[in-house]
Amino acid sequence: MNRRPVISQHNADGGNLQLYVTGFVLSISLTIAAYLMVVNHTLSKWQLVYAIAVLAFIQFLVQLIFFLHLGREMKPRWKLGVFLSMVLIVLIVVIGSLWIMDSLNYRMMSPDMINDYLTKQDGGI
Amino acid sequence: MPKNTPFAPIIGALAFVIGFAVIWHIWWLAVVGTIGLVVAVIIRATSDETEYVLTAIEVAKIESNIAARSQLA
Amino acid sequence: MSAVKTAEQINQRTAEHESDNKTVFGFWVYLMTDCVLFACLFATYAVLHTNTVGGPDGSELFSMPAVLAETLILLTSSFTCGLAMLAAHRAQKTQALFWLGVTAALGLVFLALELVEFRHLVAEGNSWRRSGFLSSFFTLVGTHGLHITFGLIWMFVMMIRVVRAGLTRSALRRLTLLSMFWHFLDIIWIFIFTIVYLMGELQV
Repeated sequence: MNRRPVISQHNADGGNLQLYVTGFVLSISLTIAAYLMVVNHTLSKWQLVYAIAVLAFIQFLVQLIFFLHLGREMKPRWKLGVFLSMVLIVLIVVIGSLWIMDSLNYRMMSPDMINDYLTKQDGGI
Repeated sequence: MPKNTPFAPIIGALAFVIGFAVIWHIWWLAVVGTIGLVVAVIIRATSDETEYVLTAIEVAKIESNIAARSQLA
Repeated sequence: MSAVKTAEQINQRTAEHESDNKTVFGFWVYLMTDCVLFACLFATYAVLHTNTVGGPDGSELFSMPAVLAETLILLTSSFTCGLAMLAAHRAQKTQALFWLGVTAALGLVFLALELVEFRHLVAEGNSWRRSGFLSSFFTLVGTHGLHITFGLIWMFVMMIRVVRAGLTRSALRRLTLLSMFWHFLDIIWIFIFTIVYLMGELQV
């Protein structure tokens, strides 16, 4: 069995130091930004929710591109294709589950809960 | 082509044991199963000779043998 | 060993190279299915996280500084894992082992912090049996922690292998798979950090 160390014939890693450092610095910034915004409550609650969601999504892309080298392969882009299929499945499962559970929640209220629900709407009945 | 190995059904069987033990709260068995699973995976992973090459010529030979035998019968 | 390669040797090399590519792709497909698994756990958490049964919610239970520490530690370990792979591809065995060791050490610290957090929750009576929120929390974060644990076991085995047999072709392939796994775990943690901890703190 070949026991000599092998220098890989191609840069299978697909990356270099610059890529990893950039990705690392970006990720740290995005993480700390989100953390500080929440801890210091710099915006209103729902603005914060959207802000950290956006920051998380950006960091997701940063780590995918800089650490996992997504999108760097040559055609045919199998990795990218499988990744997009996964995203589709995830969207269907998550959005579907939330929609269904919210719908069930609405349709299965007891009289007490109906009362609470109605009185919560702008002063209610 | 992958070589035959006993580890595949062994790992599967250990996974079954773990599942069974956790459902029935048989904690000692769950621990034993998990350790066994990890060990089996490591042993299998340390082997480098897990494949053999089946060339197109050999496949053609096998196929023509089968064809010849079925014509005789 | 002759510098002139026979046709058979070239064929063998091509076959091995293609086989390795297929293995890496196969592992990528597995990682995608793991993403779907985590997505289901996230969906469950999203549905159940308000079911606190009168008990404490996230903002009362989570310690933000500890969470920030865990996040930065795991992120750094993902970076050092990348450094280890760069060294491995340059056949620098000692460097690769060093960075792999740093990655494993950081991973262990992360796991320790997480276990301390879990222990604290259970000790105060806030175990997974307390409420739907806590059930889904422990399942989601616990599954991630379990993945980290297996990743660490894998890392230790790989370090021993590289020490004993060097950076062979198969070792490089296995390290590639391990690094993909480790980067993937940090990506999942971004979502846990945001959806569970930050949004929990905001009482969403």
